Amino acid sequence: MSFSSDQPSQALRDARAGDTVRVLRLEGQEAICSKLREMGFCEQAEVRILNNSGTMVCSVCGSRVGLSRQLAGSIRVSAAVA
Amino acid sequence: MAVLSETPLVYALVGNPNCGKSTLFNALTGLRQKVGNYPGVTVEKKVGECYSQHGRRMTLIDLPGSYSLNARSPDESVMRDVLLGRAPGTARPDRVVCVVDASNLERHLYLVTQIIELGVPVIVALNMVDLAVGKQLRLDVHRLSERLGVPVVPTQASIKKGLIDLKVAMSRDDLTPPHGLPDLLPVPVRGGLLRSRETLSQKGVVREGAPLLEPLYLLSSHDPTHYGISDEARSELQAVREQLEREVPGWEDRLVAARYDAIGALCEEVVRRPDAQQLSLTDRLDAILLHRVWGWTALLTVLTVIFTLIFKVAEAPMGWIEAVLSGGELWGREVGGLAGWVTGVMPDGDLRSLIIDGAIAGVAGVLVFLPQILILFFFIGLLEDTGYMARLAFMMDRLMGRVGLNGKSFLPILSSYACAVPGVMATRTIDSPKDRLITIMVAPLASCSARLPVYALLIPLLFPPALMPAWGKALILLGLYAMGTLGAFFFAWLFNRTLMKGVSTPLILELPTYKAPALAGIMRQMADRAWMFVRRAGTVILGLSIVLWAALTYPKSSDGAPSRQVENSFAGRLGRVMEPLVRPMGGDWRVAIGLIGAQGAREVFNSQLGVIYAVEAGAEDETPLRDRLRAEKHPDGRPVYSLPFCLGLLVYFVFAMQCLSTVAIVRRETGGWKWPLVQFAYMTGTGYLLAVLIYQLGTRLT
Ligand SMILES: Nc1nc2c(ncn2[C@@H]2O[C@H](COP(=O)(O)OP(=O)(O)O)[C@@H](O)[C@H]2O)c(=O)[nH]1
Ligand SMILES: [Mg+2]
Repeated sequence: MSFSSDQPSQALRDARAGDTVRVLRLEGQEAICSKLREMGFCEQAEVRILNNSGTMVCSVCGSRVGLSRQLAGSIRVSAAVA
Repeated sequence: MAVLSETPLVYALVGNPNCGKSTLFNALTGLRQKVGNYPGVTVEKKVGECYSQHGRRMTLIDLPGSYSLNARSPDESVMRDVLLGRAPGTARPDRVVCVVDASNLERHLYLVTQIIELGVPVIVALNMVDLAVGKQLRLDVHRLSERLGVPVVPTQASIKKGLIDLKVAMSRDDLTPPHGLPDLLPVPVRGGLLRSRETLSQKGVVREGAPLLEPLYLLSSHDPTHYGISDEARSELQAVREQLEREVPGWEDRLVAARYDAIGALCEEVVRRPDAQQLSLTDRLDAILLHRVWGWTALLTVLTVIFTLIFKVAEAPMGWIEAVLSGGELWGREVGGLAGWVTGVMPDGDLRSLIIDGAIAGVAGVLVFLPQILILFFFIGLLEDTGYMARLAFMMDRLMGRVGLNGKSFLPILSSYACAVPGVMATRTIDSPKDRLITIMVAPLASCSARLPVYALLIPLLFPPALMPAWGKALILLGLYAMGTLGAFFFAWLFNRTLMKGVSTPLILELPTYKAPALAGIMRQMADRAWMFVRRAGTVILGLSIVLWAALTYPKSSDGAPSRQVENSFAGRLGRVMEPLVRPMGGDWRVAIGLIGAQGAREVFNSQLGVIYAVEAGAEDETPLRDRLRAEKHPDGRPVYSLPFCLGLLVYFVFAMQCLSTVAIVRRETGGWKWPLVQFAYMTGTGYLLAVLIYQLGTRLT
């Protein structure tokens, strides 16, 4: 799956509250990546950042998911989409 | 179906955490059960019964919530094992009721897509329809049912709406396994899985006709020890996975994506959303409650209010309980209480002494703290039910990260403030075996409610009453709780660097919507817990009090003076034997007896002292225990309950492991005696050393 390799990307951790971004790829341990996917952070999934002060809170798959900043650092996402 | 109707139909109740399974289970079966609000509260298997429309018996199993059949913690593996028929002692369910949150279909349907592949009839309970209405979602239930190929029943479990329809659906004889969504498996994978199922079932790893994905579900957990799969079987399974991965690289990730794609398409079809997406109330609250500064301010305020109320509000009812049992002032009148009444109707003698000095004094010493414990449980229930508890996990995540744990470990520790037993059980939600073990080891350092009676007895003794306003006591109490918490962090850090190495998993949790608490549920939970506490006071503590009374009363000494009597009794002698151990921390032999009793359950300390002083004082004296302690002197005239001694003793209670139930549960959860023994040694050792240190330094300085 190389469709995303040439797109500009950032870590989810660096996205701003209020932005909507698209997941490009997951980095890190396989077991943790598959957990992330099952929580809805699949490649191409849309994620809206609800809160990014201290704790990351995202809206993904219609529900509110909190994740640690460390984890948010291992999710590469696109720049904000409209 | 005459034959079938003999055996009950077995239904499993599954769903994501917090979708209302337990509420539905209670409503259907009438069985009581704890209702929690953060993922993974339901850790025990709960079974209940109800009857179908045709009078057929149906057995319901309430399972812990999970997002996926790919289990990642012991807790989640319960659901998987029951559904796959691999849980020892539980028959494979005939049918499954899958509970989903109607206001949040996309997430909840993920599990549904896995469940409908299992080959058993499924019913979807579309719960929380009120929340969907609140979000202005419109759902096409018929279309959903048609596309999933299963009956879909809208319900609102919290007010028992839709239960009849659900029961009607559950009573149907003609339910067949769903054909479900279009096939999501790539063709070569399906072929490979079919072939490996054949091999695996011949080797007895899975049963014949098992769900195709079963081998992969069995492999998903990090910790192989819990799941009853032999190493041999495991390597067979691993071989299957590797083979498939070679044939179709990346198919597992794509399967997850395919499920979400299918769900996305389905939701497009069945869910109509309002046009504008606004920031909800929950988001606005989160902006404050998760904020770096305001979040912590709110957290500390909440905790301070709770602890102040524990002392302030509980004062009056504590006085009533004391008056009713032991005598005292009740609504401005002097009453003799139960003890006074017994004194009036019974002649003086051993039996009367047994009842008043043994039974009543012992039980009263513990029962007076019921109001405080109720208040604590009330607030814990409130935090859980409003949705704030999951936020606490995130607030704590960074702090926990410093000591090598993640925020998920904070939830069990937080439950341990009520009682370490459910706290240790709640560690089953933790993914990493290392994190789980460390959490089990340190959770009992959180000051549980059994310590509260002891704290409440000793704190007022620290300073003369005139110098101690209620908020001062609350502050000291908060300090003790903080000390236990910091201790837990410290030891977690220590264990993480020394005894137990391994990886921790970073925190990811669904954050529930904030909501007004369901007070009825909280009350029921309080009542259950209060009843447990009262039952303990009525059985274990009553028993120990009577044993102590006898040990204090016999053998009878010849000269009859009560104080001489106690000194020469069995208990007095044992206390003297143990006295050298407690002397370095400033205690006398009476304290030694109290601490021996407290070894089984902390609150027994109060009743032991209550009984000792009641027996010593004789029948006429009705001074409350605390005043007696205040007046207690060492033989050389120094007060026993001095500041350094009380402080040291309090710290001892903060750290020492004095609870048989906890030792038992830790043994069960860690599968052996090693960890409970290590835990006992490090906790009690720390408590003792600190208590000695404080006393020795304190007496030198003052
Ligand atoms: N608004 C609303 N709340 C519900 C409904 N069903 C359950 N709840 C609440 O949801 C919370 C979680 O329910 P619980 O049964 O513990 O979920 P479980 O984790 O799936 O067992 C509780 O506070 C319930 O009172 C419902 O239909 N509507
Ligand atoms: Mg439950």
